[in-house]
Amino acid sequence: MILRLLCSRFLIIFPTLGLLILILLLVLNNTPGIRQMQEQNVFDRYVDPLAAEAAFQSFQQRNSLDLPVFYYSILPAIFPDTLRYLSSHPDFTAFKKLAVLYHDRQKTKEVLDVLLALKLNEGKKAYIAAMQALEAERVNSAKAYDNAVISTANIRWQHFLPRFIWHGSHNQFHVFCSNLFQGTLGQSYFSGKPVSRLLAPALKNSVWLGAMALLISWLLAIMLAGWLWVNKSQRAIRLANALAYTGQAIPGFLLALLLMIIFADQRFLGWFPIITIGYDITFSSLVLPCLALVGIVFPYAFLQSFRAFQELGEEDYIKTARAKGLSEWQIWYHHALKNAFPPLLTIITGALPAMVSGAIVVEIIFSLPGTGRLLADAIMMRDYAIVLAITLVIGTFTLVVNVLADVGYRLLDPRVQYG
Amino acid sequence: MGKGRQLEYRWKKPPGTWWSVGYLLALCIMSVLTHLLIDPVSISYNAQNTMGSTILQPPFSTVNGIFMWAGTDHLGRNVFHSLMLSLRTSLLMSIGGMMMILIIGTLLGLLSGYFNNKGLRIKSWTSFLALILFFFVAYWFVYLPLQMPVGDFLWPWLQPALIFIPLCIFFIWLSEKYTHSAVGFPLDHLILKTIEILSAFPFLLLILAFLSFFEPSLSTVMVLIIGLYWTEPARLVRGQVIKIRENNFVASGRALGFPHFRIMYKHILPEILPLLVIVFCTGVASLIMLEATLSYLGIGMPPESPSLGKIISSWRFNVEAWWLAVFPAILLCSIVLALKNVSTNIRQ
Repeated sequence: MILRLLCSRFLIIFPTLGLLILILLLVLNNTPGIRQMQEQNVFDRYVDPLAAEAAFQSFQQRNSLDLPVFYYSILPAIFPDTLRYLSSHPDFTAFKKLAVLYHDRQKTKEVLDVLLALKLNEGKKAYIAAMQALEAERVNSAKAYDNAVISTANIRWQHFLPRFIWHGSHNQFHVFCSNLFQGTLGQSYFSGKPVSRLLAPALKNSVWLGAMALLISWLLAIMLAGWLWVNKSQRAIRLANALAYTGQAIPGFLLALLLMIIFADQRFLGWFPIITIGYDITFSSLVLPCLALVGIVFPYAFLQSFRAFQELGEEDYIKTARAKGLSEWQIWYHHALKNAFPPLLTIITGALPAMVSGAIVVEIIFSLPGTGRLLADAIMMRDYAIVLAITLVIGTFTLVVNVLADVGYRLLDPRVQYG
Repeated sequence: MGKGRQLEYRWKKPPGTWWSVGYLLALCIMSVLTHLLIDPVSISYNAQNTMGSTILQPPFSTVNGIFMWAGTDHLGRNVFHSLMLSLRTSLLMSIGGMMMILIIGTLLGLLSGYFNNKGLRIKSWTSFLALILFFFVAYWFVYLPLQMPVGDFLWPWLQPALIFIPLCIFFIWLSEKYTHSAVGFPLDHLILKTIEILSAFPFLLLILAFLSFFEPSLSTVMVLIIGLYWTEPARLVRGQVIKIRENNFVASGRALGFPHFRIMYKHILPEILPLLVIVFCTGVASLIMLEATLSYLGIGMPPESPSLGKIISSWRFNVEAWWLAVFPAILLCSIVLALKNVSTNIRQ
């Protein structure tokens, strides 16, 4: 039964991740400016345009950026399918207009093939010259293009009909997914290292940080709520709730920044190192980030645990336990906690995505070498291979935890029906 | 201990609802009137302001004959003016974004809660034809204009649409009139699964990942936030609507023959208004925090827009200038606290 439940819940993960990969790849391939910027990055490093062109081609092939995005693409019938090899966005637009002017796919394709061959063999300069010639031709026949009578006379509605182009397994999505199943996540655009090798140590650090903060904050929160439950001191309840309530209003980055300046800056206390160099973290460099993350999670954790115990109220089994003469701590541990924990578990896992967000911010601020900082660095350098990999890894992690929590809830609380 | 057992284990609501409401209203009015209150010239980067003698002045000092309530920053700008301008940015973004989110979320939550999986019955043929119509419109009117300049040859582009769309509508009319087999549209299932999946991902991770593809701009951030955050109100509204739907007044409304739209608009919507206010307040609070976080990290927000996060980040490198941290931090935390206060008190 559990197995069936696990299977049925796990199955949703695969289409979800597939869709996420597809959306990210589509955005990456269709946002104007990205490819131009990548090309610019390569061309800045070479004097010889031919060498730069070759380097750019190999860069694209290495990261399979020259392939189509998905198994098939849909294009208006007027456009040839080699259109995606054009590098920059202005070229793309110019050539599309030209294709409309020719209104003959075969002819457009021939011109485009000549152009692309020129680009590959004689470098960017020749390509630009050819493109300018094409542009000149377009401008020369601007009369024909602009004169609606002539240009639309040759344009038929059939030219707009969708054309499905099947690419087979030779596409970015397929390559990415098959890489994923083989455990590799592509190569970094800039260093050329495998992303998995960059990600593994970062992930290790992040897991340490997250696990420690999660354990500390929720254990502390539940213990504090339990202490209040046992004592029922009104003053302590009011104080703890008011503090947690106020603490929830402090944004994570502010808390982390304050902790860093107060405890790590040499001008103040200076007890801890202010940044971590390299990938190896020590205990002292983990203390402050962990403290900050605990500070972010704890108020929410405390309020939720308090509410969980408050909702238990004075049930009969608690009164019975009290009548048996158990001490308040025994009642709390054996009866109250056991009944309050299953709903708390769903709250803990439900808060996990928010905690990952908090961890990202904390890692960036303390420059702790974890996934969050790797992500920030990748965004700054526009290294999309890393951005894609991190999004996928963390997304998979949270999805899997969600499913596990759902199953765990059913295991802990047999009253919930399997379904 | 015996006395302690009699005491309650509960916490009463936090005090000061009207103070919070008044404070928020005052801030809103102030941010609307920013243009009248301050002189835009005095906050711009001009040579006079960036002279060495005017940078990092402490609060309550007078610089060039201007009284500085909150001191000056590392470029000699008046921090008080920066605070007011950034307050305007963050309120504009969070309130505007939350309005859109609330509209989308309420609509989807209402539909999925009210119709469930079986409430919305569609004729089989109608659904098939509607799907075809949807794909046609998506291709012809969204994808094609993105791919080519259709405006240059309007007539050949419009020809098929003018024939196909009326034909499709005619067939839909036929199927509505003459066919009988109908299926329940799994609206609830679709929306709930989307909500489940979207809220399983860390919000900040998706925002950062998608923002990395685009040039920093306020509109990109807004679109992303609206596209990712609508799940929260939709989930809450759906839960509430499912509870309300069980009431007798909904059933009697149906029995009287009221259309679904009227029941939703006139009977269910007023019932969930308090919930909407709560969702609005908490949403605005979290969006304000998100905006400050993004601008602190320097990702996604345009560099020229003033923001509380940016003022705080300038403190990072001028630690002695405590006023660069204290005033924006107090402003940020107090707004969030007031919003949370209002929402908590409405809930109870």
